Amino acid sequence: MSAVIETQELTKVYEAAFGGQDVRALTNLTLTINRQEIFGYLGPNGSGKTTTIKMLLSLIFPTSGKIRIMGNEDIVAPAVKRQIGYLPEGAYYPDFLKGEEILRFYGQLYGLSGKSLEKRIDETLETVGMTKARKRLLRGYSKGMRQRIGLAQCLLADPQILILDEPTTGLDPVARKEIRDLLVQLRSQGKTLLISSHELLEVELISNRVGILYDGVLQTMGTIEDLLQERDIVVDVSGITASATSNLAGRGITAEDQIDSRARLRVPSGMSVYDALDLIKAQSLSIVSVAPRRETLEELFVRVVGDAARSKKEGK
Amino acid sequence: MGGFAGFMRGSFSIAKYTLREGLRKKTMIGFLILSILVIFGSQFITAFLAQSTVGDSQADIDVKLIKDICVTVISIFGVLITIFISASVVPGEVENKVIYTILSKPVRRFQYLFGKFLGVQLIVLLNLALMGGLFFVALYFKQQVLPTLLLYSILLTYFSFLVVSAFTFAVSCTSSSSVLPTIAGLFIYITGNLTDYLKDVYDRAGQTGDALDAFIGNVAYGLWNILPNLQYFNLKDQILYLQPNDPPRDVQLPQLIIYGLAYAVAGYLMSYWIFRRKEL
Amino acid sequence: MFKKFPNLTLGLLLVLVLIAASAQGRRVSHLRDCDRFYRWMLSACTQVRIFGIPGTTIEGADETEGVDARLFRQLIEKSDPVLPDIPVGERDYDQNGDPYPKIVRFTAVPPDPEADTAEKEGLIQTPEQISRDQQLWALALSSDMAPLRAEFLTALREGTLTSSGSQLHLSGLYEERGTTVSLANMFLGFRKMAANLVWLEVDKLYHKGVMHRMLPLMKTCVTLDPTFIDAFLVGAWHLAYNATAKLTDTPYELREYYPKYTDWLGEKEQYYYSGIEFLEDGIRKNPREYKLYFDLGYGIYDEKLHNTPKAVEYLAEANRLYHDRWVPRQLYRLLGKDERYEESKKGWEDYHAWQPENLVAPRFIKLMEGAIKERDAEWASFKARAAEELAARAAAAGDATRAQEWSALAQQAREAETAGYEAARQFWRSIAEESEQSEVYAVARELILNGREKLQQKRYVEAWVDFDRARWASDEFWDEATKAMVEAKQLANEPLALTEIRQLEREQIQLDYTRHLPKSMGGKFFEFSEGTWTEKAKGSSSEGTEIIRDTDAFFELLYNHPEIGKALDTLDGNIKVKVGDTWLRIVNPKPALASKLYTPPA
Repeated sequence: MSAVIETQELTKVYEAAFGGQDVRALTNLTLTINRQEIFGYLGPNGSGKTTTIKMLLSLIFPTSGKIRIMGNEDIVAPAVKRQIGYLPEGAYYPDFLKGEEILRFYGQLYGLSGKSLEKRIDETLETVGMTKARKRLLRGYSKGMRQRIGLAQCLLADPQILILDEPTTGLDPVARKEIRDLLVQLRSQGKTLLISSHELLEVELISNRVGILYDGVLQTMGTIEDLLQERDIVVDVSGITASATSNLAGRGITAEDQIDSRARLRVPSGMSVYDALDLIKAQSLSIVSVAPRRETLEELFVRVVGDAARSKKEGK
Repeated sequence: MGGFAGFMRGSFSIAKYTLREGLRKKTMIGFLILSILVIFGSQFITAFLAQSTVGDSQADIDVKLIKDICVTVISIFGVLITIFISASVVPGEVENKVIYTILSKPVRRFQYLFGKFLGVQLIVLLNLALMGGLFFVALYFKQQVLPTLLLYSILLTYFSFLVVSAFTFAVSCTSSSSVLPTIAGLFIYITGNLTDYLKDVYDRAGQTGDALDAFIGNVAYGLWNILPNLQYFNLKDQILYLQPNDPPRDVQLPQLIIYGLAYAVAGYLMSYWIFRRKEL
Repeated sequence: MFKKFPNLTLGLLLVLVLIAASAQGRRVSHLRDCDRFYRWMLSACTQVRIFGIPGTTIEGADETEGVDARLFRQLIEKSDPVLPDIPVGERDYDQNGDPYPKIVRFTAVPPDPEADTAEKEGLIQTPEQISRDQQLWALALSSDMAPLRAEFLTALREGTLTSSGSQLHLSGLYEERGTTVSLANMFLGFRKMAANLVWLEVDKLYHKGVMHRMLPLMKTCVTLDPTFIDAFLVGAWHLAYNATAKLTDTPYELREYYPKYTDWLGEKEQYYYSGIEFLEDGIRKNPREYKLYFDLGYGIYDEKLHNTPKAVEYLAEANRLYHDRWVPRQLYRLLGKDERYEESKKGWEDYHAWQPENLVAPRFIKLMEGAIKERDAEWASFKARAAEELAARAAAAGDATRAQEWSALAQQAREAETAGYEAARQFWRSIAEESEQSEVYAVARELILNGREKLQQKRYVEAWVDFDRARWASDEFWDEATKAMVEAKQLANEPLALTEIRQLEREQIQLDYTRHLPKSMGGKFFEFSEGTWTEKAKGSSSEGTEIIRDTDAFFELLYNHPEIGKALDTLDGNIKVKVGDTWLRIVNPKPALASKLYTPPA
């Protein structure tokens, strides 16, 4: 495992003009993304995700800290940029061009030309499933088609690193699945992917590692397995009553999502399943299902962000 | 992709793209159509002039009117198009985020900016070629002689536009919308035409013997030295109208071209200086 | 270095480029100054030749005029050693008869016979002119001229320079008057368009018939665009032709004398001079534009003021510049009208060689040949008169041999005269016959000569008939034939018609007023002052051999130089004239006749 993207104490402060308050967009971000990894970069709006990505692409410049891409500190160098494919969020593509013309233009920026460029255009269009629409003007494209073209331009030069900002927005479920598969396939080809997204479920499905950012600070980072290892058991029951709820609560079993007489009971970790079932039976509740449950990324996200927001508030 | 050839190839792709994009701007097309209409209409303008004079003089006045109208139209619409295009190509791309996809490619900012600047110049040249070509045809039909001097005149017109373009472009690099740079461009054009006024201030200063007066004079003189003077390019009219008491133009013409180029380089350097570390 | 200190490097680079641009700006500015200086040189030199200002002789009449003259004198001093030597041409003499300074002559390129018509773009100058202009431009640029140039620019800025137009300050309307800062800059270089708008206004006024309001607008128009040649041309045409079209000639009694124009003017006649001044302003601003000279010479001086010598002067200047083909035609025609037959004939011959298909030239060549024949006969008659007079005087003095000699010479001259007139008549008749009478000028000339002969034979009534037929044959000689006819009638003791009597009265009044105005006589131009008519010719006229009128020496002079016979015959008072290379002062014991302009000393 070799680090492809490394940041060290990366900080970005947007200086306000005319004595206004400076905005601290990113604070001491130290991050390592390894080869052949899909890194899910998460955080609510305005948490500094895009700032980080822009710094990686040297669209903006860090206030302090270091960035190293493939071991290279000069990230402006074309040789480094050559290895990066970037899909910006909600990017606009000139709609007076045809799909393949756009790719030709971007290909030329990569220094491709002639037959090798045409070959790459064919391949990439095939990969993103746009071969049929290649001769059409972008003006006639749907949102999803545009997103695919965006993906195509970022795959065009077969870069080692893909930085994708919201890669699946605007796509229908089938397309999402396709794209997801494509991303996984890309990883298996040895590419490194950095995906910034709000679609937590998707990230959870394909990411190896995630990092959650709040208010410019990396709150937590780790592999999906490490982060989501807390497991508990959920028992769905029917015939719940208020007394049963209070009795069970006294033993540590909490009821949640109560609808009419049905409820979901959460068994605290540490309590054995059998003990818990005995307790439930004692309240003469009928058991609908018993399932072990891993925390979702969404829950982790809400929890982490919620904690961070709270501590920030208290800090103030 | 390496070396100068690679650099130029990248810049040319961007320039080509800028050209295609620019040619679709509705404002520019509007200006262009308007100017072409007026140039075309200048053929008939003398119909408004009652036939007060006889024979030759009437024909000469016709030619003069056509020249005057076309020169004015080309100057006004040409500079408007130049300002509008120079002010909008970079901010436009920042606005619609295309710049992110381009700058994330192995393209240096210098290269990108150079390509954009080149693209602007291509658009301006294309416009001038269209307007000038029509002017050329109009004059040819009126005079029945190929007005070759017009080409020199158009060339100088271009270099005056180049100066305006370069500085407008520099301003546009500070901004993320094209409104401010457009206004700035107009300001640059007007100021550039009024630079002679500074020399006047300097020449007239010091008459009162007042220290402040002399100081203002010196400031004006300094500014006069630094600011580009677009009035110098009026040689373009001199060439076009060709009076027999004009001095030979073979000295002034190349010097003016160098002058225009020097300020264009300065303007471009300023844009690069601004754009080099610009946060996008 | 760039990697380490990018901002510093870029800043330095920018400063360097700005310094370079600024230096280049100064160079361009310098070239523009030289441009102005060059234009002033051209304009000033042309004005010296055409208007006599800013001549070396003007001594600080008023301060502003002095600046021009001072600068021009310096220009002469500085340019003289630098410019290559060029021969002094026929016309390169000033009013005092001194040759023009070298730079003035240098700017006046002799006409190029190879020059084709104008209007060909890029070809409005002859090769010689182009080469001289380049030398002049080099002179304007040279560092030798730097102090003078600086002085000129200061004068231009302060508005003390008067002899050059606003064209010198291409960017400065009103600036030449040194008042406010350049308003023209506000037009951002669209002054020509503004001038056009003003011109449309002028046109409107013309169609409304508001002539008196046109002049100020026309002046504004040409101030905005000093190179608006057609505004000068059409404007002058409006003034000299359209404004005067509905006015009648002012009777001389109601006219006023204008020393500036050396002419008597009424309201109508003043418009002619407004037109002249307007065109002169045009020439000041566009000294190389032949159309301005042409319109001034032909349109106003010839057509309106009938001042042929002046017209010839301007047409010669137009002809010297790059011109269209009608210019030499008018010039040669007017040379003939000014009795400079040989020059005219030579010109027409050149023109014929250049434009063989033009039918006018051969006719005029013949016309000139006939005119030369008639003039030779007239000269023979002067000779005969002189010889007869000398013979009579010798006889009276008792010198019989001398009387005999002179009689013989007189006889010879009379024969030559008769033969000359006969030859002329033959010549005209042959042309008339050749063309089956369609060459009416030949018919008319023959009739006039016939009439003259009959007049001498005292066959007055027959002569009268010939003259009357002549004047109806060709209106070209209407005035001449009418005059001769009236003379014949008077000699025949026939009563004159009422209109003829009125005409004679009018002529008498006109003579009273115009007798001492400058006039051209037999190809020579005379100006009257203090009882003496002085020929305007090259070479100083201050000295001169004195010859008393009506002495032997006088008649011998007339015999030897019949070419001044007409002048001696017509002009009264003393006459200073150049004969060959020597100046003569012919003293008339009888004072010059009185006129409105001249009272003879008591």
